Amino acid sequence: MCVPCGESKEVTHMVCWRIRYIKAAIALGGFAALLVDAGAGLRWK
Amino acid sequence: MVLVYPLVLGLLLAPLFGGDVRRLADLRLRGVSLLYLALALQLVAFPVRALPIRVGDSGAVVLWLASYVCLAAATALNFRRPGLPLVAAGIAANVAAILANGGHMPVLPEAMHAAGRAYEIHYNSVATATPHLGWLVDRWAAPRWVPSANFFSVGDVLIALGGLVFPLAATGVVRPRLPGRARAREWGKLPRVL
Repeated sequence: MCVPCGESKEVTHMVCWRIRYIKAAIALGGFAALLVDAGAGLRWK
Repeated sequence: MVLVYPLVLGLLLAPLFGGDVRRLADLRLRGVSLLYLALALQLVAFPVRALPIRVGDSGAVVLWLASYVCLAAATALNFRRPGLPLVAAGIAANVAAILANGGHMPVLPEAMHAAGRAYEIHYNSVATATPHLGWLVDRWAAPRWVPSANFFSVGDVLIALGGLVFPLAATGVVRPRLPGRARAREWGKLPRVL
């Protein structure tokens, strides 16, 4: 368990933070994809 | 691609207004796979020239609208996040314009002229002087100094605003109006040790 973050997985704090950042990057990338795709007028022209 | 600019702008502005970019480490969204699926559908519908994929116009319209179903579902799953209601309203406006005009997004001739473009149909865009739901179509040209930009609609403006609000909220500049426990669950807490 990562005590500082409270993550229940068997990881060190450093690994725990890498996982967090990767998950956050995926979420942020998904939101960027949402913006790109939703703008019907700008992306594909 | 242009609608990513507000997101980047929000991330750059956040520290200037008291935001903490470390909060992004706790950023989570529901239904993220739907967003990437929508991107894949649009890449198939409107492939870049390097890709050996070609679908007909009607096939592209079907794929494009299917991608909007994915986007709408993912937006609904995250509707309480700041900025997402604006994005949802923008999607609704754009989809209404597209559906009302046979599956293409109309662009007004004045906007085309101002942007220095000329075509009848180009991917998902169609030049129309008298579209249905005229206020929701691409009716303005983007400034020339904006890279890769051409036209935009009311829906695009709403999506851009949502794209600006979201990173400001995710970094703590804009506080969502949620009860304390719900806010903590939505955005996560800052770690005790960094």
